[in-house]
Amino acid sequence: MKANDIVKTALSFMIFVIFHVLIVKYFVIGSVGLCFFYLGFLLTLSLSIPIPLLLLISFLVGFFVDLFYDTPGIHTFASVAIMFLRPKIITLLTPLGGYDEIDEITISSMGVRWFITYTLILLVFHTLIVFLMEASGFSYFHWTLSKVFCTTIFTTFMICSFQYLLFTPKS
Amino acid sequence: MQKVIQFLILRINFIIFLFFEILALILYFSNNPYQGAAFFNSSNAISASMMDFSSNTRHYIELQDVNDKLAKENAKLRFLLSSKIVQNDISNRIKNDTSTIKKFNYIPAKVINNSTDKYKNFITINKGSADSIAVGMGVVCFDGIVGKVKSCSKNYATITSVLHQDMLISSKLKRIGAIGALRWDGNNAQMAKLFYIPRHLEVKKGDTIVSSEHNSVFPEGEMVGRVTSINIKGDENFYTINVRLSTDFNKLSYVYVIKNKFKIEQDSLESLNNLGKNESK
Repeated sequence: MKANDIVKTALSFMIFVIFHVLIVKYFVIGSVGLCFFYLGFLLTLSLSIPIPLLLLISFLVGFFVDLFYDTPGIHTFASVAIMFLRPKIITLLTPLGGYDEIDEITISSMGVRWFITYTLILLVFHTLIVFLMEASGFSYFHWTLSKVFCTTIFTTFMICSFQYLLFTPKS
Repeated sequence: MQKVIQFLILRINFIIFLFFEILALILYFSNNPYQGAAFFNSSNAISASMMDFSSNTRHYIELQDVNDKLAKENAKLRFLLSSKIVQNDISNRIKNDTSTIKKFNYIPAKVINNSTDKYKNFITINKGSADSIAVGMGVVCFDGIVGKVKSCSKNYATITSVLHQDMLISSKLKRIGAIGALRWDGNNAQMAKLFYIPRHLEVKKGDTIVSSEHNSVFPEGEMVGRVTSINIKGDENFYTINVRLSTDFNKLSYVYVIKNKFKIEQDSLESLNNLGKNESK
């Protein structure tokens, strides 16, 4: 990991996480569609970061977000879980020819379709964990499911549009 | 050993993952009162109903014993009742104050969990707040005192047993009326110690110890135990008396929770007094 990467990561943290807890947190569609925008930071973390460090980062980010949501442990648990799943999902989504030499996950480097699939899968896991833990069980399960659905779609949309805004795809 | 280390190194990511997840769960359960309550309540309900089931099975085996005990108790109550009637005939001019007669209510309950082997023992019974049991009520059985209600849910209650090191019971020597404090020393479920009986009194082996009137938990005169030996060191002012408890805690099956109708009144009055004392200091 180069110094350049660290700066990039810090910048990404500022954009996604800080922006999330200050502003995007209050974006709610009809009380079911929340926006977990901070996941944009975790999902686009560089592939060159070793897994233990990745888990530590996700733990800290989850904890930080939890402080703002007043839900200790919930986002922490879900973030660490999807960070552990991330390498497995990436291997699962390997295209036919294999990956080119890449170490960053963006729309421009991976392609729109790949990126959306990847985001959707991890977000479903994340939101499912978060809302189940919030409801502390399977009571109101249809409500939980509708929350999972709306939140996943909304968050994916937000993260992708932000990607387009930040990193213009190479022509 | 080398293989174990190799195994751990191969799975270091998973171990770190587990570590963080457990940390998150600790945060989750320790900081969310609702989740914590839901978790602990449901687990409590599960464990309580399981204990209920197992105690039902055990009680079936002990039925003979319980029967004998209840028959004895019946006989004794009948005897008391008859003597009471006679007494009333003799002294029917003296009107008994109805409030003193009905001061205590007895609620029967079944013991579903009990221990005697810890330093702090608790008993669980199958009656709770739904049967008007409240925290702080005294619990007795036919043989003697059992403990004091520590907490209660809707259908179950936990009792701090006399076999609990922090439990002090105001008791008196029936023969001479001296009042002391009884405490269990944590070793033998049959034995306890009575403190603060002053040296000038003559205590005999075999003296009966009953609950004193200086508490609002137990009625006066509930059986506690008998003196087995008396110790006093050279210049001490108080005896240390070994007491054989009359209640056999290993064989508890049915107990009575005592509802004192005037407990609140007595306690509030006493606390007022204490407040006055503190202020005058």
